[in-house]
Amino acid sequence: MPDTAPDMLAVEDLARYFDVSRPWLQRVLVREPRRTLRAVDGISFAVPRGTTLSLVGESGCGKSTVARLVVGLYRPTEGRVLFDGLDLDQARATAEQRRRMQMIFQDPYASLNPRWRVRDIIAEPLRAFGLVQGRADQQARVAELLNQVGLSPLDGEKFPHEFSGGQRQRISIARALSSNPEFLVCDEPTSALDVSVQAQILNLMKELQRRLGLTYLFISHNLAVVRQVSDRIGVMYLGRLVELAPAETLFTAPRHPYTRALMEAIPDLEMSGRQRIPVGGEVPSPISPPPGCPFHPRCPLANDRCRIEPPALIPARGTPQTVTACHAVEEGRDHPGEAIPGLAPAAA
Amino acid sequence: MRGGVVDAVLMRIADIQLTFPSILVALLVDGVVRAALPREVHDQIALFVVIFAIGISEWPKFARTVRGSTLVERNKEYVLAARVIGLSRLRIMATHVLPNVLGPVLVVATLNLSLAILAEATLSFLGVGVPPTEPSLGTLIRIGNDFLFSGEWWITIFPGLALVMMVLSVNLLGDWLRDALNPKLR
Amino acid sequence: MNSPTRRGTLVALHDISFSIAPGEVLGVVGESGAGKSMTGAAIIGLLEPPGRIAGGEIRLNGRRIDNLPYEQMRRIRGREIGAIFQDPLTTLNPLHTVGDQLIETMQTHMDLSAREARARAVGWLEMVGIPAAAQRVQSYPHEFSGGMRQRVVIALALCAEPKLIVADEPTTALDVSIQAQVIALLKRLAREKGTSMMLITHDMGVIAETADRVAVMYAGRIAEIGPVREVVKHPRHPYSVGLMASIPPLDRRVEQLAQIEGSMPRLSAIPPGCPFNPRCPRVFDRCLVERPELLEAGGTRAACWLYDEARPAPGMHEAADA
Repeated sequence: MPDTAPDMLAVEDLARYFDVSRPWLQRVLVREPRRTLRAVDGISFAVPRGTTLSLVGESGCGKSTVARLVVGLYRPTEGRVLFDGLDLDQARATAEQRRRMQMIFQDPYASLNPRWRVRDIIAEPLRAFGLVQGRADQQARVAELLNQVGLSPLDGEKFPHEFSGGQRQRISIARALSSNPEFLVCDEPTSALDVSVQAQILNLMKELQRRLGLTYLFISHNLAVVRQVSDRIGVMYLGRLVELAPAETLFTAPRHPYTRALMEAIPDLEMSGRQRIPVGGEVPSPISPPPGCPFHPRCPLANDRCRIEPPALIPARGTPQTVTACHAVEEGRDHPGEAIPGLAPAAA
Repeated sequence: MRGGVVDAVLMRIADIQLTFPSILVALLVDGVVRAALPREVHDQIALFVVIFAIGISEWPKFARTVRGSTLVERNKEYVLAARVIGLSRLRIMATHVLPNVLGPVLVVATLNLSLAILAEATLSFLGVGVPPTEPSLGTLIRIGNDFLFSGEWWITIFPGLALVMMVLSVNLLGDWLRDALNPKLR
Repeated sequence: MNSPTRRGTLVALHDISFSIAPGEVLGVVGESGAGKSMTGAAIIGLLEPPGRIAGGEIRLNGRRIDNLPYEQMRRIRGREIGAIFQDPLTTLNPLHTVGDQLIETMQTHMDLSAREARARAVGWLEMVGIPAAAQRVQSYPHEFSGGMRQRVVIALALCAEPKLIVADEPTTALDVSIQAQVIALLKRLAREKGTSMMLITHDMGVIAETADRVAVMYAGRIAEIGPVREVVKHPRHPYSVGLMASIPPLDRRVEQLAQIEGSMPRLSAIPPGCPFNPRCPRVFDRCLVERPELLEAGGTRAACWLYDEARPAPGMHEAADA
């Protein structure tokens, strides 16, 4: 991998706000001000060519919004997205350029047009980008793609509803691969699938990455899944990145109290009998996020500074390959590796 | 958001119109056209006037159905997938959204086709639809109505039965059509 | 309790038999369509028509309840069996305050004065960890967040002090950090009150943390049942083996996850013999023709011919652990 080549994807101070005000008439009648939901509130990261960056976080943290911003489904309110060194508008200006990025969605039941045959679904990008000449060529390419994802070319004649969830996700992947993309955005690609089928899809995605040199932006709420596929992982909370680290570092030495709480919260299959300490409280509304650090109302390490000053994402003391946005880590009062004393008195 | 204003205006008009019984709207349109045109011109185009009047009186139901289904479909992931590859709005609308909103529209359409037949019959029964020289079930029923008590019941009953059968078949046709167009049931 | 269940033209559940002891948590796992929710629905008497119990019986404390008339069953539901579903919004009535719903449930099933019931309602909200319970008792369901709503549902299921709770995916709709809170709560309450629980979920982690015993379901049948530690650590049935292996581990990265080829058959296309035979890596001729019953498999019971001591599978004399 040449060092001089720009990152496949770079995101700089990206923010996206949504107007969630009520309709004009109601607003005037009840004298309610406009309300803004800060789905993504100033995040930066880069994905080097041929690697996987995952964004994890709970529902409402803005990870799916980032995915949609990156492929141009939403326009950023602030900041910018650079694809292969080019601003997204330029990077999506021509069909030849748009061909290079594709997206895989979460719900295999909604991501395929129910009225189209599978062969037409897979061929749509081929036609849109003018990648095939004539029917025979298209047919051959569709058959090849179906083979590539472990389906039979005969399946092309069927409709989506004739397939199981896992098979549909394979069809989505075949469609995404049809334009020979270099970069795939995967928005929770396995969270609607059963666990044995999830393993199939994860293995397939890893194999395709090896074979085709793909770059992934992987969105998920499942830390165990993310560990299997990622090179680097970003943890999001309330529209912000709170920690960004190489995958192994994140799991062996999580730094941000939220990351540590998330890892604590995952049910333990090892049955070590370890008493889990659930993090207390709930995620605040992104319409009125708390001032200062967004995690401070739930954080056992919060002090006055955390309540006022939003922390910046900076290299963490001790593990400099990790960047984290936490005053406690910066000041060295986070006791890495030990259980956080009284990590939130949960109700239980 | 583009189209927001057009959408708001059209839907408010539809809301207002829905507060009137549709037959009243049809009567109104028919009356306006009648008043605006000389009698002989009107008689020539009376059929089209009725079609127009009934059409105007029924449009809000279609608009609402199409709008509701479109709002659902356009946020589905297969539409997003088409947007990711950069297809034009028009193309997405024609190839993805339209085929998927057709189902619900078809149901409304068949229901309304029978309502339209009934509306025509009602207008003709009231004597404001097609001129008496044109054949119409409504006209027949109205004429028969005058003879009902003199024992000539069959003048009214048979056109009435024909009307019922026609409405019923249209509804059945609609059901069948909806199933036939659904790939899940094929 | 014993509940072999069958259903009309499509056999959705087949010869499901299990029992839950007082104070025990039985986990029921399986992939979507395996019949776990239907088993739960059969027990609380809420099978959706045209589904019906075509055979077998369900007994609660020795009393048969599957053939009771609707009115009697309604009284048992809530009083003796509590139910918790995945989506708290469908369980709670949006038009009544949570306090009124708790009070109504308690007064329907217990002999309580209005004042007593109100005091208990506040007590229950406190017990499930709702802050400022005395005020929140006046709130409507939509005024609570998802996690808090599920706590209210738990309070509602427990407030008439039932002997058995059927919890169908109680944490699936919740975020990880909230999930942990809710599981800990359920576990603690069940232990304190000595309530039996049937915990239906697809999340093996939740089962491992909460259940005492676990039943693994596949295609409407129980594939394996046994103590949770045995099933999680040393599964015997090839399906359980595959299922456990395909769960991505949190503590390490594996290059290739174990996967079970294919997918679960539809109800209308369950193969003869063992329903798992098309996907089973250890299938042999007997599996294609004969349907296995639950057999002793050293620590658990598995519906697999590998464990038939009377007729050992070819090439093996004792059941090998995975």
